[in-house]
Amino acid sequence: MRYLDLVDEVCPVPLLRIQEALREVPAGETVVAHLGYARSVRNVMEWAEREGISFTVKDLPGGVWEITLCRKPRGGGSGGA
Amino acid sequence: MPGKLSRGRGLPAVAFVAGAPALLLLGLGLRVAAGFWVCGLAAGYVVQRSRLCFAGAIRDAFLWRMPSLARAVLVLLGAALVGVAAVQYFLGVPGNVLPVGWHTVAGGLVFGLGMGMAGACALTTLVRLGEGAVVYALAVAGLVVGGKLGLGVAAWWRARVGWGTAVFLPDLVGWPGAVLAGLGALALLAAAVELRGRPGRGPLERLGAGGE
Repeated sequence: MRYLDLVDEVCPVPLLRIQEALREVPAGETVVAHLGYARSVRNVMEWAEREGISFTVKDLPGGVWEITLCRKPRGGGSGGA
Repeated sequence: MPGKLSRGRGLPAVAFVAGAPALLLLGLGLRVAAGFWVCGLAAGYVVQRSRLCFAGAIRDAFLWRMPSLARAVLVLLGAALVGVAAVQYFLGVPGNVLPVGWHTVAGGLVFGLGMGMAGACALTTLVRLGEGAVVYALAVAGLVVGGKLGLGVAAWWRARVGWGTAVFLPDLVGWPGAVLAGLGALALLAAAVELRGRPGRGPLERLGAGGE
């Protein structure tokens, strides 16, 4: 599991950092990121949905969202998004 | 780090901050100011909840091929175009018609560069500051200083660079023609956004493909 604190990052940095992390982790691994802006969360969700990457979003207190994305297993299917 | 404020607990504070100045202004007899305060807050609420972002609309559509926000902004512009035309036509409110020229394009590029660096347009900058992202105070300060400087040198620009003549489309092609021309321009932009949003080629599309 790779953790990213992106609460104070300005758009589009959160999406870029998450893409970067997903490229670096081994297949099947998860990336957990905390984001502080609803627009950034929507951005990541829309991108992950389009790419078929499975993800979950949790609405934490204090205007923070936790998004967990799973890099597709090697040779796996759509990832179930 | 998640804070301690839980959902809904801030509501009384929000109601106080929104309501108290409005009541104070009404008490002082400043009805127009009170109206502006309430309308401004209402507009701010809608903008914040809708997650509208002009900078994001352009960036997502052309850099990430995600057209949904750009679609929303184009629909908004179309509705605003028809609404403003209706107000001007039926109520006779004159528009603030300014000349368009190369300086408009140059200014747009400079503003767009700043918008890209700040990660937000003027609207989102205010929303983010209101949400508590203190770093955006810098962007707001930049907007205010830039606006003041712009006003200060406007006369110089008019004299040196040339200002051109202002064209008011309804004078040239009538109101229906002007509205149709505006909507047509928006339709062309929409086509560009949709074309760009088609899935397929490009390195960004392969990033999340996984496997290799």
